[in-house]
Amino acid sequence: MNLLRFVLRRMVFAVLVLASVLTITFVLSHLIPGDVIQAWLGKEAATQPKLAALTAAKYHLNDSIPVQYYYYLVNMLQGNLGYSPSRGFQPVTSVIAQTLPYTLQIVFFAFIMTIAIGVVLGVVAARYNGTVLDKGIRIFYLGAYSSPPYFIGVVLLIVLSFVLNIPSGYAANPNLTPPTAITGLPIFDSLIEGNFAYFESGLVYVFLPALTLAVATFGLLTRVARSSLLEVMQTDYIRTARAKGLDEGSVFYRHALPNAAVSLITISSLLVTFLVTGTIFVEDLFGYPGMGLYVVKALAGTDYPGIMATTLVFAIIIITTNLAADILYAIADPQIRLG
Amino acid sequence: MESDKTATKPRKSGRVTGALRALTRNKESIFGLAIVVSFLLIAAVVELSTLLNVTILPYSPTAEVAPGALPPSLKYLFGTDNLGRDLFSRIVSATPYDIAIGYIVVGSAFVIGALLGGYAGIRGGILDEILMRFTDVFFALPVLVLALVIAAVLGTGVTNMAIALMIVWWPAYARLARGEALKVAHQNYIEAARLSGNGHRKILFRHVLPNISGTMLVYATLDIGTVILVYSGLTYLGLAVHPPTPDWGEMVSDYHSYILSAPWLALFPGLVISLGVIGFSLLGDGVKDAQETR
Amino acid sequence: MKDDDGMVLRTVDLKKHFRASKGLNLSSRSKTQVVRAVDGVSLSIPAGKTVAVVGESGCGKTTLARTIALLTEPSGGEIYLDGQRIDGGRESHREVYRKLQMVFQDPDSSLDPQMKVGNSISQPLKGLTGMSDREVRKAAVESLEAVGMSEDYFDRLPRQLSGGQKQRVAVARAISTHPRLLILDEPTSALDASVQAQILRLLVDLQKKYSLSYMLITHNIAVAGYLSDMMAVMYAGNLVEYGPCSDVMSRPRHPYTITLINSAPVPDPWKRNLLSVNIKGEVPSAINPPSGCKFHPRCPYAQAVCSEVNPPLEEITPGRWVACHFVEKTA
Repeated sequence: MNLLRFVLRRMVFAVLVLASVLTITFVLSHLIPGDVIQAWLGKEAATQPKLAALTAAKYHLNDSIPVQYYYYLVNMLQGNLGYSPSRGFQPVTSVIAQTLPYTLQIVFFAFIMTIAIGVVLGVVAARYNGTVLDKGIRIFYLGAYSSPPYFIGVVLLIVLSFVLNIPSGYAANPNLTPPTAITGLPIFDSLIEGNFAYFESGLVYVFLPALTLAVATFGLLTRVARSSLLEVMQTDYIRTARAKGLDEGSVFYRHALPNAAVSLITISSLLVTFLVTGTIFVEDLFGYPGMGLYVVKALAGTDYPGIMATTLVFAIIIITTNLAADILYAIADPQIRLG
Repeated sequence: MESDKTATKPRKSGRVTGALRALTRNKESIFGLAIVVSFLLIAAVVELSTLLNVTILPYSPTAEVAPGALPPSLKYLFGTDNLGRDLFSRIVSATPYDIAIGYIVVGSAFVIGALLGGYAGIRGGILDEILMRFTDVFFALPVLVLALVIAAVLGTGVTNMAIALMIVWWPAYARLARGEALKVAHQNYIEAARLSGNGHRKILFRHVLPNISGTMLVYATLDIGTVILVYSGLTYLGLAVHPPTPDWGEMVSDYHSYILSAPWLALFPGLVISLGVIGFSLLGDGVKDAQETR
Repeated sequence: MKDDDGMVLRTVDLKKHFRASKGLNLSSRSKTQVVRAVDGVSLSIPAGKTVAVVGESGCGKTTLARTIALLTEPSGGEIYLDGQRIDGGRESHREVYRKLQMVFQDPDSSLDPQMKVGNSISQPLKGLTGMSDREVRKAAVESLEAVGMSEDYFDRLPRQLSGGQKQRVAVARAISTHPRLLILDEPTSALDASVQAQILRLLVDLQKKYSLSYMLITHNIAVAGYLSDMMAVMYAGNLVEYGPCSDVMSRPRHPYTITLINSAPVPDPWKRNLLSVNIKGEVPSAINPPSGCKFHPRCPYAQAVCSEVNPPLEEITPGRWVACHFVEKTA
């Protein structure tokens, strides 16, 4: 009951935040230099008189601001996000539908890699606290975390191109037939379909972008994992386990590790925020055709509808992740619900 | 205290020297401090030389001095780029902007955040509620994405990017200031100040701000590196500077197509960003530890 | 207690209720609970005298002090300072604070760590009087010397002082404008026993020197006995007993006062009150206080009426006031 109320409250809050983001984008669309119509068609709106008239009617751009705001919300809820000049005036919604799956793929694999690298290094650093190994890990994560993702990508490209020949510029070998959409994420769809050639190619192409993001992000996790493990090791509970005669190794892995895991949930939403933001750079660097690359192209082409829509989608992803992390954390640690 | 020999010495600058001593006890913080100081010095010297019209760079950052990309050598420390420009001169000449942006953005976020957050913290009520909900919205969006949107509205350029970063940066400081102000607001000396006939504004400036600025400064020290990192991201995306003006992030972006033929081109500017950010975060960590152990 | 002749402070049915809600409740409009921290207190403080308000922690005595000092808005009732009504913004705070000052419990928190001792003491002078900077400095030094500290301390920071010195500074700040009434909120409870005695002696001296009136908030019967002329006993937001301090201490009449005084450590055990009362249970929650007399669940004399009617504070013998239905049983 208590949990349900907490979840409900967080959900209402998430919706309110989203509504505020929508309001902000509406305000911004009116602040864009030039005609309001540019907010829906970009700077080249004048070259598309027909589309401009259609858009003005659809979004009631000749009416008062409150009326415009109402139709703005209605259109947003219906998924009408304007037309993207950097994509030949395609509806923004369909551009998002094409690009979002690739971004989610990167974030998915990068998240797994971040957790793997971050937790392993954090655990090793805590287990061998104060040794050369601990210090080496600290230097590594400090360096990685302080570097911009595009620079990490450049370094990885230089290092790995001598060893492997990893292709980039696409989400998979363009000569292969892509799978039909089932989950929407091509790599998983190809696996379900049994299209192993595409599956393999997809993994190869996603590897470097995802690894780059993971290297740029894991430091956050390692730092938290290490310090929370060390903190748990200081508690009475662990002292008791030691006093029972358990050896240091099993005290660490069987007792301290599960306890420290809870604190990692809180940071996971921060990780996702980092990864999602980072896709803008790695997709640009590796030419991976996701939403990040789209927003870079949109910025270059003053494609306002594209920029606004991608912002909205990024916000939705982050708000949902925060909500999920809040709920997970509340389940894992009942005390938080009181606060 | 009575038995402490140092207590009898004049204690006028005891705080600052004490903090410095605590800071220099840690090797990492010394390293961080060294990096930060050298970046600041380079920035100052470069800026001064432009103001005084004195050439201190080995070559002009925008002129062709060699035939195409040359690898690093004694003559061209970091090599030359695809257009034959000296990479070392380009990187050094970009220092003032990148460092200044870090300080300007953090500084203005600090001031706005401390005033708004501090006032909301001691005042409470509806104003506090509005400010907190407002910052919640900002927190739901990553700073880079928000900066991109603002960039779209304001247009590109260094000034506009600095403004965009200020707009997205102050809510974190407002949150921090508000939390710290809440702690201070429960102290009896605030009530004693009220009993001295002081209103919210006087209390904010005389008691709250002096007492919260320490914690905020520690956070700010850590934060300058982050601003530099995000700003370099904006320049990487081509939103701040326009060629041929050199900038670290923009150089990585420009040169990344030559990573196979001339890998040093993208490596050096990237390394400089990383080094600067590491310097600020090590220094920030050190300052934080020094403050906590006091 | 009707007229203000010779009374520096008078409260009439003073109330302070808090709404206990946790942040912004978006989903459920749960009924907000009310904490009755101060629930109808009428108290007078004669000029030049000390009135102690004693009670256990959580009984509302500190809230009473803060409400009287206008640090929080009263929920009901009236406050008169020197015959002038001061609550509800009827009088400017500057006017009020020129006559009323406060000394807080925790000397560490009552001085701004970033502010020099002299500036702390000067604060009320600057804020409340129209003195020039030189006059302020002179008055602040005078105040500092009045609490037994030299001018050398003027430019020190609080962390260079001991706990006792900090409390002296807090007292110096409170008396710097020569107020009529000083509210002392547990002025010595955070200090070591030896320092406690010094501060108490200082307070007695200052009272004579500046003809101050004290409202002493304390849980310590011994401190109250040392410093006070009158004693008011507070329980769960109400006064349950009031009278001359020595009377109340030697012949307590409210069952709660009896237990309170008996539980206090006394130097001479033979003086302990022979009437011993065993109480059970704990201090009631201020959110859902018991009906009727709030002490009835713990009271050995409780009858049916006690759970229905809250007894008023009545004068049983001249100068002695008790709020109990069966006060004759403790005679």
